[in-house]
Amino acid sequence: MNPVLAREVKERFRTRRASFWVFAWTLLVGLFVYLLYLMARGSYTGVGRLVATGLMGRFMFEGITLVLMTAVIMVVPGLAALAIVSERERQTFPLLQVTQLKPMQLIGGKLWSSLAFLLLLLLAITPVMALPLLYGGVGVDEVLIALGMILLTAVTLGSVSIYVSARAKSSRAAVAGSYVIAFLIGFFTFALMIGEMLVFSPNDNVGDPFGFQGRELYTIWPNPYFGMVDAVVAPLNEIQSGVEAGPYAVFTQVLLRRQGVGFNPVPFEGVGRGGVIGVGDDGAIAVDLPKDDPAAAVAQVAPALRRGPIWVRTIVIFLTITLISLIRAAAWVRAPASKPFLTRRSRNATA
Amino acid sequence: MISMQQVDKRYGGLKALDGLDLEVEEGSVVGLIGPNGAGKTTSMLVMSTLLGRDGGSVTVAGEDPQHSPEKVRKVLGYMPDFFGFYDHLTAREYLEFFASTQHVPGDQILSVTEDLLGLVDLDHKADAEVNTLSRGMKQRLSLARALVHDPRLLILDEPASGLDPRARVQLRELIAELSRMGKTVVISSHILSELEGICTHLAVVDRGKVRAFGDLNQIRSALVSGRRVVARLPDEQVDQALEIVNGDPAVSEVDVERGRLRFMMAGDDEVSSRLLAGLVEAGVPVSEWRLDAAGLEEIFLQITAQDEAEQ
Repeated sequence: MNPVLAREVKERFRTRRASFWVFAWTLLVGLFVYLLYLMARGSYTGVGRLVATGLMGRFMFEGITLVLMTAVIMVVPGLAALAIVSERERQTFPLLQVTQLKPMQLIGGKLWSSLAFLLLLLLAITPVMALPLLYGGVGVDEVLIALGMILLTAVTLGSVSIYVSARAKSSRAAVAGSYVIAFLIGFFTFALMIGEMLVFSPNDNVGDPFGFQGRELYTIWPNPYFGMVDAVVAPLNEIQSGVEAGPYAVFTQVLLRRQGVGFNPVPFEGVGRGGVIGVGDDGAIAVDLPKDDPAAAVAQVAPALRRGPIWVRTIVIFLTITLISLIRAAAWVRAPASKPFLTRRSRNATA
Repeated sequence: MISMQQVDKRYGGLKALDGLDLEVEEGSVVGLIGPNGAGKTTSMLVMSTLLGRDGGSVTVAGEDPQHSPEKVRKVLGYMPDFFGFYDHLTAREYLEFFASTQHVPGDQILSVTEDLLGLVDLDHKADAEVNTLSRGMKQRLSLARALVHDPRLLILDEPASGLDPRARVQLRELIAELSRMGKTVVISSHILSELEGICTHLAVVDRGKVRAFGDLNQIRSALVSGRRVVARLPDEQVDQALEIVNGDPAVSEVDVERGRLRFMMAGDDEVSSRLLAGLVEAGVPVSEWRLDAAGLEEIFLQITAQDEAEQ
């Protein structure tokens, strides 16, 4: 086991604060899921019992994964931003540099120890995550895909924060820098997306983001929410499933618009009979497909569906960011350096 | 063990090392003395693989610390001039952690840790959190940390800084013990008395250069022109004694204080005997005749004064 990881885990998990946070986190997620359950129960009245439980399971799953993604964006920079700068401030860093640890081992140990606490938080809510599976409407594969995208986001933001930490002159600067980058990736991309939709709306709908349809949306490529939703719910499958009005709806609507499917129903000539594909006022995607060959009909109605999936691009972008961040961070911790790296606090201590 | 030749290091416009030359033999204990800002810490950082040099050549155990730092780190134990501790670890866990970072085999970590805690006399504090240890204990723990991988070379930067007299004595004994174990030790201090008695060699560093190097006696005979003589005699015969010593061309800086006559004497033991015989023959009852060797502080002041005069 990486020595840095082993020590950090020992040190971090020993404090009472760690137990408190795990307890508070589990309680919070539990309450949130109960809220989701109440919302789902209210939404799906009047449908058959079997269908209703499946829809409720799906509703809860989507809500939980979105909350977890948000938690990752909010928590990971805080966990990882202090990794290197705190070692420099307490003057333990040169002691690590003269050991036989390689820079990448040092950085890797720091990254995984920062994420270890997050993994514990995820582990603590496993029973809650399993709840939608019990209700049905969600496959194990979908849960694993969503968790995979959440973990990838955590690793990416963790790596960026470690890089910021390796360069920062103070803890405050490291935390601020890490959160700025995390929020840019996680949230600011939504604003960029709206901007892109406004700019590239069709001429008859200039200035109306809802007029956007059938164009590539570049700004959502690095957005972790879209990456996750796209990986879990391929829009094509979603059309075929018939109804979608859960917490993912807003994301799937944007993804479908990118594929050329929008609020304005598109008439098409199916193999069997004509139909309409589109999104209703309540956000649900209503589809009327020919029974004998639905895929052919969908391909006919929206050729743009052949536009490649977002999640692949998100993964490529995140892996690239991760790789560059880790390599650059390793360069910043490598010794010998051309000059001593002094943080504000260590400079004061030396003086 | 260490060879530094014409080593330069600049921090912006400031020349921290200016053609520094230093040779450290295996098994020796070399003290670097010099005022704050002389270049002691910078030269130690260069040897320790933490800082690159701008010019010159350096080898540590036959390897260049700038180009093969991993090889140098295998034989090097470094103790900086500050504490670096993880407060929530115990002394034992602290050493175990650094043993694992130094690739000590897993089945040996426990015994190595116990041995080192015993060596630095901290076995009774093995399970105490580091933040509860005294400054002297922390310093000894820091030394134990530098020893976890049994390095051949120890670089200790101001190890006794801020310690009380008892802790200093303990640290000196520890360094002497390490020297007996065959370790090569490079130790820096600006408190000169700390180094006297434990170092086999001394390097006087000032303005980024080694101004003098050798064992204490060599430096003393090469650089200090005279020896201080203290003679104790009755008060009423001080004037007579003054007349005799002032008449000798080998004597200078004569000073009288409460029945003690002090002066600087140029020359060897023969000159000393001649002076003493002159006093006794003149009927001055000399009850004490002492030749003081020049101490480190005197040597250091003389060397740095010479440099200032040259500049």
